[in-house]
Amino acid sequence: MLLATQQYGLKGFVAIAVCVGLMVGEPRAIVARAFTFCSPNQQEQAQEKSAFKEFARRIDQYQKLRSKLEHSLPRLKPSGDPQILLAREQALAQKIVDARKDAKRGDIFTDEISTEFRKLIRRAFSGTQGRELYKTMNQGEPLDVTLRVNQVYPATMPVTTVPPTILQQLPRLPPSLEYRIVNRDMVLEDVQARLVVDFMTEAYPRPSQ
Amino acid sequence: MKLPQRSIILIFVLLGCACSGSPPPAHRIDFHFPLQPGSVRFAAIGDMGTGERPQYEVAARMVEYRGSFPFDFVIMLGDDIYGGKSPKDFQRKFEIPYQPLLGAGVKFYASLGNHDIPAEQFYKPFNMNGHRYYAFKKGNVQFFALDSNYMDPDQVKWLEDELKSSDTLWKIPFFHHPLYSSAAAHGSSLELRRLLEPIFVQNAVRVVFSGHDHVYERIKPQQGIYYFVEGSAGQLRANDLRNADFEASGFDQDRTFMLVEIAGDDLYFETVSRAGAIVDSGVINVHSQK
Repeated sequence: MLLATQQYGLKGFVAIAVCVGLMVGEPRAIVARAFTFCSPNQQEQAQEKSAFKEFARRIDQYQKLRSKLEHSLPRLKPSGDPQILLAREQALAQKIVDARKDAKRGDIFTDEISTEFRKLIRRAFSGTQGRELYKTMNQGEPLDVTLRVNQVYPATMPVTTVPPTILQQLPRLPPSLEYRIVNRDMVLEDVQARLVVDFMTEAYPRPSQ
Repeated sequence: MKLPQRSIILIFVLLGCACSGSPPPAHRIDFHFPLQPGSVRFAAIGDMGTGERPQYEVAARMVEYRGSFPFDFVIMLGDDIYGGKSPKDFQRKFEIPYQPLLGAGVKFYASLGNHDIPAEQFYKPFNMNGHRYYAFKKGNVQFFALDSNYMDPDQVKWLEDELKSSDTLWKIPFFHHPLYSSAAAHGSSLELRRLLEPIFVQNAVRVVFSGHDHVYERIKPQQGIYYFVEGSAGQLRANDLRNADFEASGFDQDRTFMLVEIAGDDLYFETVSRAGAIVDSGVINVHSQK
């Protein structure tokens, strides 16, 4: 097979893979096997693309709802009175919570989307910059919190730096949303409301992994 | 005039009460600043917003030094308000300790640390105007306040564009997480360094200020850039410095703040301890490479 690949290139390789498949299994499995042989990255990329497209659609949906809710509040502008700022933050959070009272974990980070996020993150951690990524994560302080959707991120709790390498690769978010790390979980946070919009567990590998 | 002994004792007691809020007397006030007309003068503080006594004592020392070194503004290197964020916290951890400076018209420019909340971007005295990263100019210096908690591609692009289009002689980024630090608690932010340092080098940045580690540290020039860690204006992690090869000077025995004057091509700095001792000082030329 290797010889045929050398002589006839990729086409030869695919043909032989299909033939081998024909001898050992069902036609659908054969095609799948041949596809896997030929371009496993392409298949993975297609899955990732599809999951991230769906993620973008869900984010967009959230964003539309949020914009509508925010428009019903006075415009947020700089103030010397922290009470005004904190009241605005609470009012926005309350409106979002009311409008999403049935929201639950996985509404945005569905299983498929979470799988692709985890894959992407693990790829980054297993790369040449893995050591630095672990260091960034470890610089954060352990956070004693049980996450739930629609919970306000406690003001007393520090934030862990999201590794910039990861941020360069994750799907972009609108300015109103940010990724957060809470221990090994990844949180989608509404920044101005300081609200947990959704989260996925074990997004980040253990340091020993 | 002859005062009875009891009256003299009372005067001393009253004087003692009036002075009890002040820090202990300075060991040394020994400025090397040129105090040139038109120069840019500022202070730098990091990790200060505890609302506890040491923060107040550092603040009082800053007020005292401003008498000899009239700085116009303060850059804040993050962890501006620790813990609770109620209006009372904003008062206790910022407004009250720095009231004499605020009242004298000194402006504060904040960057966000890992203990800060997004609402602080809209808190007027922090001069962030609702942005988590922003730039401002003072004379021939442009400052770039960054959000190192969340260095997303938009922020990186913004920084590159701003630095490229900057026409000032000095370009000074400041942010919370240090690219170089020999402190044991956190240490260098390697990932941020890999991302930001090439941008700084490419755009002729000479000086960078950070906090996060609760110590003072000056780093030997790295690719022509002088890095300062000033994270002990409220917090302190004593004996935390590990004297890495890249350390030029460090101090982890007391709280500190920095005073800086930029006059033409030269940047003069002094780092002052809570007790008033000058623990580091020097001059950096914008054209110097080492």
